[in-house]
Amino acid sequence: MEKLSREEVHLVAQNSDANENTTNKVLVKHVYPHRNDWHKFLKWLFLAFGMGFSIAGVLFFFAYNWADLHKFVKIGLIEFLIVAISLIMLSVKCSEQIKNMMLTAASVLVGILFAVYGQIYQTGANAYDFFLGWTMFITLWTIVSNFTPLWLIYVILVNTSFILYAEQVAHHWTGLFVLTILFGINTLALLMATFFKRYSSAVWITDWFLRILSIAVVTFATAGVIAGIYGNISYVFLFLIVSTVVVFWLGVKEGIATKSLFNLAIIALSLIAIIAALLIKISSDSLTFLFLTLFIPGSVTILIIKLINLKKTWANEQL
Amino acid sequence: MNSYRNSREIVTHFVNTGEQALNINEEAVARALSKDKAQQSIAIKILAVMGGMLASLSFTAFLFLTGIYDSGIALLAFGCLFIGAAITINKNAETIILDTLTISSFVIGLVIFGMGLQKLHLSLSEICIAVILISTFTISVVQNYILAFVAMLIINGSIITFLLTNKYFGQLQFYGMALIITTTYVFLNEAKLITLKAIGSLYPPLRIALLLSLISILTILGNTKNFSLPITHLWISSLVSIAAVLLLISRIMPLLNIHSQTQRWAVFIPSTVILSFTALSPAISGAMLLVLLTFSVNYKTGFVTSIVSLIYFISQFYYDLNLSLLTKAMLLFSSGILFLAFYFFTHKKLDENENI
Repeated sequence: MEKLSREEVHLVAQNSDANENTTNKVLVKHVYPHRNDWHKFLKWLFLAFGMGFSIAGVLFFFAYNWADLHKFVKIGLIEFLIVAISLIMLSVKCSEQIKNMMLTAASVLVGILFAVYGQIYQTGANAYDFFLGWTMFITLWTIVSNFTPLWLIYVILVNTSFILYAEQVAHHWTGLFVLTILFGINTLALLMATFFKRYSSAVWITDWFLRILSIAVVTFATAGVIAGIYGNISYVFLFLIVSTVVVFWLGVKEGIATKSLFNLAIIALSLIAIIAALLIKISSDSLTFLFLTLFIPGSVTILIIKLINLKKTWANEQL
Repeated sequence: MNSYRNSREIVTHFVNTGEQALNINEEAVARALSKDKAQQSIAIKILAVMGGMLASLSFTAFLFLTGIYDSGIALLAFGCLFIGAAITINKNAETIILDTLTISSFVIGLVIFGMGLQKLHLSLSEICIAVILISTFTISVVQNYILAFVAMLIINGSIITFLLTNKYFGQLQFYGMALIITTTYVFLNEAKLITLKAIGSLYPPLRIALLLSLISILTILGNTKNFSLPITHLWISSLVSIAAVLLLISRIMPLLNIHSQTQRWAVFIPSTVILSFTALSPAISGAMLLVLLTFSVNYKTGFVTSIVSLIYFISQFYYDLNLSLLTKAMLLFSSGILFLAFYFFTHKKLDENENI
């Protein structure tokens, strides 16, 4: 039989007359790390400290000389690193995982290259075109790598580029419009990721990536709808409401189909937040807040009961 | 029923490993097991906490908009009512479904109670003491994971607030040391504590609350310059952490097949030398201790949290260090080389061991 979990050991220890010695024996055997685990831990600890401190030392050394370096050296140094990593990746035989990590490191270096370029030529390090350039130049790598962390960086970059563009160039855009577009971008990413996960084995999508995207979609939808409630009625707001309804409906269906509570929970929480915002908009006197104090825990409690029941039903179906 | 068969297996397994004939309340195990299964979803826990926080916020808004805010006695009465409600609900219906209600009720109650005391012109430190007493009472009455966890964090926050408002800066360090010792004791005596009937079920919340409280006090001790806190002799709390780390190392050595006296010294002396460098930063030595402690009991959440805080404290230390970049570069690089040397050395030694 496989090992007992810590919770199981605790349960038995508390519901029996097991003494300290016995419990300790069980904990040592089933829960605590063994010799091999300690070996691995020490190896990784020393390796991580060694690599981390050495690399930090080299970086600090360059930082110390940075102002005196010629601009060609500065840019050349980073370009050399990018080329070196890419060549090593292509020529050395190692696992796919390590190659992907190298590609991710190279992608981050591309961003640093842009930042250094921006610093030398005074274009500003947070200009939107810097992020846009970074995004564009790692697009191919991201597609080729098929590596979830790199995809995550990519999605974050797309979002950042857009937010900076809205802040620095498109001054006339309303907050609602920006949130709606962000909602759209992330929904598109989520739809594509879900599609690939289900219908194509060529692309590897992990569950946590989908969850982060779902959180992004629901957050932007909630913020957008609340911004709309406090703004004027506009076509953008109508569009956002309709698309939010559709996306939430799809999310609930997906959650039920995959038997995962996650989507259901965040969507319901978003709806509760929207209803609360709507109530405060209608009337912001003390009674509304008193009502909300009862409404929020009440609705969350009902939600939790429903979710637990749903989970139980699913568990029974599997038997 | 499925959960019952599972509990049967678990109990048998436990008895076989423990080699002790046991009197076991199997039904209680089965019941707790089936309850646990439904509650383990992280989504539900997050929902419960979020709901509680939102409700507390809206109630605070309500208070500011009504006249109740002006009467100290009314506030105190409402506060007691809410805290009492939280305890009663929790005692009578031990289920996660009501956690949202109890947490919001408890936090709202404490907030109103504190406001009431303030209206009655009590000082901040007196309020802190009252909050500590109420939270301690709640923990002793209610044996519920989330409520106990929240109450423990509130106690830690109140103690720190109390020490800071009274300018007891030196005592802040003693509190830190007390936390280091308590945390080490609690982590290393899991079997002893969970078999104590009175507090056994409080062990998991106690563990995570201690971890987070210790990290919070380490953050303060690691930022004395930035917060301009006049705390001197910071190395004293480092010494406690270092002693705890050495104690831990001596407990790990038998596991790693290190028995001879020479081998023991060969481990102790370099560890002491390296650790003594961290004496300057109680945050780093404390986080180092947490990393080892959490790993030694295989506590994954705590391990990740400790690693993250260790990385944060180390970078903060170097960032604040008043040395030129060149000196920093050399310091970092030489310690990196030292650790790499350790890596190759242990790699070789451990592999030899494995081959035997």
